[in-house]
Order: sequence, then structure tokens, then C-alpha cells
Amino acid sequence: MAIGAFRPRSLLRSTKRWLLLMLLVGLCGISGCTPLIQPPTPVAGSAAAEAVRLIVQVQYPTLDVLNALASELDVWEVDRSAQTFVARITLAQFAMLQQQKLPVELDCVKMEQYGETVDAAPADITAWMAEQCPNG
Amino acid sequence: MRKCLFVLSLLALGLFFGTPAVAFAQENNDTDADQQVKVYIPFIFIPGQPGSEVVDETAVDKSVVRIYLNDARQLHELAHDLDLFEEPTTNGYAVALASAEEVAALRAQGVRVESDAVRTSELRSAQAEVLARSGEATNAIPGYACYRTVEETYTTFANLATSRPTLATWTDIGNSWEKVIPGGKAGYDVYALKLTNSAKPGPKPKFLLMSAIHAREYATAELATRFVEDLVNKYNNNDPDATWLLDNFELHVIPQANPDGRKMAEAGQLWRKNTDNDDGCRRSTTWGTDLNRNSSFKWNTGGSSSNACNETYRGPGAASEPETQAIETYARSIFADQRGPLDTDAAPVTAEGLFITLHSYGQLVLYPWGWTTSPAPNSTQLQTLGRKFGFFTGYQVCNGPACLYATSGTTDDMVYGERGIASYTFEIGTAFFQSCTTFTSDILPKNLPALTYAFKAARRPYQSPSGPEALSLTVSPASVPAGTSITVNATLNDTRYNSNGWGTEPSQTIQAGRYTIDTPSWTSGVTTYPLSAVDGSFNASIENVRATINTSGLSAGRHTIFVEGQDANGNWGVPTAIFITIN
Repeated sequence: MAIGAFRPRSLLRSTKRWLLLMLLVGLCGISGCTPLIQPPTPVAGSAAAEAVRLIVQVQYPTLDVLNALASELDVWEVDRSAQTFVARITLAQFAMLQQQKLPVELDCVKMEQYGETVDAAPADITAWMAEQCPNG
Repeated sequence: MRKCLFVLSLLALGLFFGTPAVAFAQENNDTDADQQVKVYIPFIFIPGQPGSEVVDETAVDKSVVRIYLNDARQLHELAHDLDLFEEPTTNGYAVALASAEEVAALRAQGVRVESDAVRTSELRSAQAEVLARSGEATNAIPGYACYRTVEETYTTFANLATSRPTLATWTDIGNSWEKVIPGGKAGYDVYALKLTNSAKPGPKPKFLLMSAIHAREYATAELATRFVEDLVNKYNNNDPDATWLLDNFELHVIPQANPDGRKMAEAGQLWRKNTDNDDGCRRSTTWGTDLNRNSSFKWNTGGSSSNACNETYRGPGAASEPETQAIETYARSIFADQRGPLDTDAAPVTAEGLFITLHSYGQLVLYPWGWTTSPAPNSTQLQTLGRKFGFFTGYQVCNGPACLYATSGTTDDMVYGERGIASYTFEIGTAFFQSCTTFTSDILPKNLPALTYAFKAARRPYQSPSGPEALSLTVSPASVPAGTSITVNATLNDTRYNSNGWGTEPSQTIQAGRYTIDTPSWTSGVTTYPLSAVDGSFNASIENVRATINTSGLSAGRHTIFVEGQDANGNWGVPTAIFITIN
């Protein structure tokens, strides 16, 4: 169901109902019914946080973008037909990918396979990861 | 000082394993006092260690013998056929490791052969001791018992050079970054192994194989090491191809191109670069230079990073890193420049030499260029040999910018760009920390045949891969008295290519087959003999061929038959060999 279609007047008449709506929207977001969930934007933190690595799958729009990103990132795999690549990135690089509005997904299998520990990651990152890899 | 310590360590190791052989040197009183005694330490692969699948059991069945020679020509013939490890002394004999069959064959030729009971006994003792110590020697990478560490790789090759001095040399070709920077870790020497029968003079075509320039790619160094062990075990041991290859060609291996980084990876880190930390990156988890972006050819022309913390950091200058300098200097020392100065200059189709750098992962065979999407001037020929590798490996065959992404400062671009040598990157397997199960069941069986083919193609990498392969060789009978005819059968096949999704290599009909005896067809003055199509005409891309060999002019002993095929475009393929014996 599209979020924009859910606007019953009765719910909008009071502050409590407005808050309830916001809560529902939030829950809906977590459960995946929003069209796009924006990952958190990490802020440069401690040295421990800087050691955090994420293994992610990134969608790239063009070969020029791929080549530009591959010159800076630790790219492990490229799927030309799906226009995706797998890379191991820092939180700062994660933020850079977000700035470019490139769809980024955590590669849960590889995170586990290579034993990447993210204990030192900022809370919003670990929450996002928990959402991406619910069984991890 | 550090180098001295390393040498002392090797010496200590040599004494540890070599005690019986040293004892022999003291006891063997009939040796001239001033004669240089070469100590023979048997080359054995230890069960339980990496490489245990290729235990050299046949060495146990051989004895040390003295072969009395009449002249130098006879020595050359012996060096070709036997595992000769000591050249003639003032006593007029050569010392060799020989089987009972080989001794019988020599005696049948009228050669005086005596068993050296003392040395044979010492050989047995040393073999037994090494085997008994097998349990103590296993370290490997934690959790990955099949992969040797830097030290274990070095020990393997140092022992090989000691035990087979005629066949192997192990040379310090430079330093790691840690070694040249004072005050830090000890660092390492970078080494190269040269494998060839040095009793047979050159010049010879060269195949340079490099591995582990990216530290975390566990399987690469082990694949290179297993390839060497495979060849050494097969040499003069009923494998005609390994034997003629090591007699006539040179294999050069740089097994640990990035030893500092490798030590980080052996501790479980996903370390890729070397450990250079003075370029502005202050984070110990991310500093270092990517040695495969640091080569001097087209350095910093895209596809690399200026950020010293990034995994693709190209370094502060072209070939700034000591490891890169060692690799480039070594490549220049063995490969003549065979390409013009322009990016568009092609190396001639007769260019000689081959280079492969082993990486993981991705199941890809990549060929130059990496720095530009424009095709390399030898692109068609590079693609053909690549598709031959694709046949053996099942990997995709393409150039980097076409199927991965652009890169510059890579080793393969440097070796091709600067020297004109056919160069490839193999991205083996499916993971950096590849499981030993996959390494053994998938990577080895796919890549060892590809590397063997590469070695064969090293003489004409831009030409012979277009020609057919000679397969399924048989001789009947394999052993005859002189003067009795032998029939040789083979299949010539011009279809064995696979790009796995990146185009189709054209095949041609076979138009001829030929064989030579004891020397390859390109040897000056050699006589070639035709093979005929079994079905009566050469009109297909796969042809069964046959010839009758007249043995009346052949001396007693083992002989090598080289078989080759030619396609309709006139390309002769690489040879395949088989042994015959004249009683």
C-alpha cells in the first residue's frame, strides 16, 4: 500500500492521532513497505569507528561511474549485467556513496564469511545493519 | 644484518635436514680432497604439509649411482635423460639418481655404472628423517592447512635449490618495504625461483609466474608452489612434457611478491597492499601501497587512488616501492624488449616469453590493456591464448576495462607494455580466503593444466595458441630393439578454446602433423617427419594422425617423440611429447 493513500481525516484531527500516524509510518518503514529507506549518514568518529568495514553491494548507473569508484574503492566483484559491484568500504566511503545517491545494500553473507566486526560502528549504522541482515 | 640472520636460519634448517648428507661428505674418502663436493639432500614433499598430495615416492625407489663417461657428449645425453646431480669428477664419473630400469638401460649401452651404496644409504636415511619429522613442520596459515606461509614457501624453494642444484636456483631479487626502512619490522627479501635443467645450455624461452602481490589472496602463492612441485616431481619421471619443458624452457617464479603484506593477511586480516606507512595515512588498518597500481608503465593514468589510506593507493611515484622495483628489475633481466615505444606498436608474432600474475578471486583471465579501453596492439593474439586458458579453467576471458574496471600501474600492463611480453592476470577461485577443499578440488585441477599449457606456449605465445594441440599420444610398442618400427598415434585438435561469454575463437581444419625425435622442431638442423591422417585426408578441425617411426638409427635408451599439428592458417601448435625406449 502506498503511504500517500493512507490519510483518514479522523486520524489527523488530534496531536495524539498525528503521532500515531507517524509511528505507523515508522513501523511501515522498518517492515519494508516504503519505496526507499535511506541508510543513515555516518559521521566521522573514533579511531575504532574508522576501522569499521562494510562489505556492500552497490548499484552503479554507468561504466564511467564504475571506473571512477573502482579507482578509489576496494572492489571485489563486478556484475556487468546487473550493474552492481561488491566492495569493502569504510564508513566515510559509505557516506560518499550515499551522497552520490547510489543504492547500497549490505552483503550479509560476505560480512559473516570474512568475520567483519562492527562493534565500534555508530549506533545508526549498527541499526541499519541489523535491519539489512536480520539473521546476522 | 637481517639478511645474515635469514641466511643463518636457512643454514640451520639445512643442517637440520641435511645431517646425513654432511656426514657423507666427511666419510666418502675416495673423493679428492680439493674437489668440491655437492651435498645431495633429497627433495621430498612431506605428508601432512602443504603439497603432501605430491609426495615424491619414486625418489625412494631410486639409487645413487656413478656413471663413468667417455666424453662430454655422453654427459649431455645423460643430463637430458637422468637426474644428474653431480658432474664428472677427476675420477671420471658423474653421480646421478637412477632407477633400476635406467641403470639397466645404461649398462645395455655398454656404459659402466656402479652403485654408490654409501650415498644410497644416506639418501634413504635423509628421506626417512624428513618423513619422520613431517608432523613437526606443519604450520601453514591458521585455519588453512593447505597454504604455506611466507617462511614455509621460502623454505620449500630453498630446499629445492639445495637438493636439485642442476634444476633449481633460488635468488634474492630485492627487498620488502619493511626491510629497507630502519627501525621497524625485519621485513623480507623478495625471491625468485628459476627452474630449468641448467646442464642444457640456453638461451631458452622464459615463463615468469608471480603470485601474492595482493597479500590476502591466499591461494595464489600455493598454486604457484604446487605448479613447481608438480613439474619437479614429473621431471625425468615418466612425464615427457615436464621433462622436455624443463630441459628446453625456463620457469621463473616470484611466489611471494608482497611478503610484508602477506604476513598481515596470514594473521587473518583482509590485507591487500604492502605495509608502507610513510605516505600520509596514519591508520594502521589501511596504510600501504597497492603494488598492483604502482608499476612504472602508465602509472597514475586512471584506475588508482591518490589517497594513501585507500586500498588502490598507487604510491607517491612510479615504482616507488621496493617490491615493485624488485619485480620490474627481474622482469627486465629475463625479458628483452620486443615492442616499440608507441602505445600502438605491436610485438611481433614471433615474440618470446610469457608472464602470468596470479590473483584471486573472480574466475577471470584478464589480458592487457588495463589502463585504457582501447585494445592492446596484440589484443587478438592475447585473446587467443587467453581463450586457451579459458578452456582449461572455465574462467571468463576478457580485458580488465571490458569485464571489470579500468586500472593503471598493474604488473601485467608493465610487462606487456614495456617488454612486449604476452601477459595475463588470472583471478583464481571464488574467495580471498579460499577453503582448502575448493583449492584442492577446483583451483588446482583447473589451473595446473592451464599453467602447463602456458609454459609450452612461452616460446611463441602470439602464434602457437592459434594452432592445434596434440593430444592422446600413444606409441606401440613403447619399447623395442633398435631397428624395430614403432607406431605413434595422436589426435590433433584445433577446437580447445573457451572465453566463457566473451566471444568465440575461430577454429580451422587441420592441414598437417609432424613429429621429431629427441629435439623440438624449432631446433636448428632437426629432421621432421610427417604424420598422416588416419581417415586418409586432413579435412576437419579434429584429426587422428599416425606415423611409423623407424628406430634403426636410434641409440639404446630413452628417446622423446615430439608431436605437433598445423591448422589451415599455417599455425603450428605447441608440441606434446611421449617417450619410447630402444632396448
